[in-house]
Amino acid sequence: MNNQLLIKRIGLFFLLYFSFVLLAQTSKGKEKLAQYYCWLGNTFVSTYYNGGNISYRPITKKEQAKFKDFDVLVFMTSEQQIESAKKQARLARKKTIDITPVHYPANSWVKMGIFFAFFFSLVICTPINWRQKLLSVFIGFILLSALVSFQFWIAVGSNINQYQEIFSAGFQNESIIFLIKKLNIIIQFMGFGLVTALIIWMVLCFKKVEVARTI
Amino acid sequence: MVKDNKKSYKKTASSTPKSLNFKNKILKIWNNKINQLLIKFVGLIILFYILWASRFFQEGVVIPLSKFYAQISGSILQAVGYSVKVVEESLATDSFAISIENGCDGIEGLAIFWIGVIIFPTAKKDKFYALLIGTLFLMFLNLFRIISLYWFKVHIPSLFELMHVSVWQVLFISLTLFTLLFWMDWTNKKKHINEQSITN
Repeated sequence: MNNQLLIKRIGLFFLLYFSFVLLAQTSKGKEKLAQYYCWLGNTFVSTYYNGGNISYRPITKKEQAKFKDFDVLVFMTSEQQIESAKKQARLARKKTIDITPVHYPANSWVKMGIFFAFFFSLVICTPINWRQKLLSVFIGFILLSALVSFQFWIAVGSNINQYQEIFSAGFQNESIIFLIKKLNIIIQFMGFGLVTALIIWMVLCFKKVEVARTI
Repeated sequence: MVKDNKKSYKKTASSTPKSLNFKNKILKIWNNKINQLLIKFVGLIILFYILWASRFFQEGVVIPLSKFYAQISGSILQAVGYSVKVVEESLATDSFAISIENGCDGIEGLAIFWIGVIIFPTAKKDKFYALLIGTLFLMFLNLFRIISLYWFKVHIPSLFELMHVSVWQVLFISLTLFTLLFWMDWTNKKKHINEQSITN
């Protein structure tokens, strides 16, 4: 590949990436990212092994001061926790039950948006035709969404085991718990998502680029 | 005659066991040089992450490297007039401290570059120089990242988070990738020039 062409493509990459960053910083961009992030969580990881229940919702405007931009809230309960609360309410002859779900914030930009922005910029600046670009963007979008869902699953698995006493749910096997915790350290790391996006780009686009043809 | 040939071809194809077809497909994928590179790259990256998550690697490589970056960047900042203290792997002032943690140590970028150079089919001498110069370049780049982030924290604190997460994380990985692509392109051109001079 011509060096000048490579420099032009790199310039285009940075232009595209920073445009995506700016787009995400708008209030509409933040809202859409948080919505999609919650949708992924609620669609694919709303229940967890052995009775865990998980729900995701965007931060409201009132709560915004307490959280960072792009944050969403993850709520964790379990069927066992609800049953135990019902039992206690019956014993105390109460008509309502008290459940305190564990909740924590997750950042939709750090855990998802940045990977998409990086991947889309890489694909669009790659010297391949538009049909191939569109196909790569589509496949990459699905694969990265699967990665984000898997990240949810691992994070929830790791967190639910931390609160075994409250939830009485999650995995019981020590080896599986150890594996999930280790995997959680790797997979929650932002660099891992970026490297995965890079690998997906390589697999989808690298073969079609002139640099690769000369190998 | 042509029909007969087609028939005999169909017969052999259908009589081939499925496992053999599968084996042939795998071989076909493996025989492609780009696929070989991609498979090796992915395999080594997985190996890197397994190693990276180990306590041995965190304590033996990540922490000492972070302390090294803190020392060097602290010395540079002090030399240009900033009153900064180096505490373990952190740069501290009276009002704030920035810690060089996982992700800010540049190890991932180094791993990508090293794996890319090691698996690329070229002369060992070229690989050696690439590893040497590339490592120095990426370490210098990481120092620049740390110093620039400190600068932003002091002078434009509102932009620190954006620079830290959205700009430098991606910039570092992309610059690693582009350095690798430039080097691959350079070695290919060198190879072609050598081949041409031999044929001439």
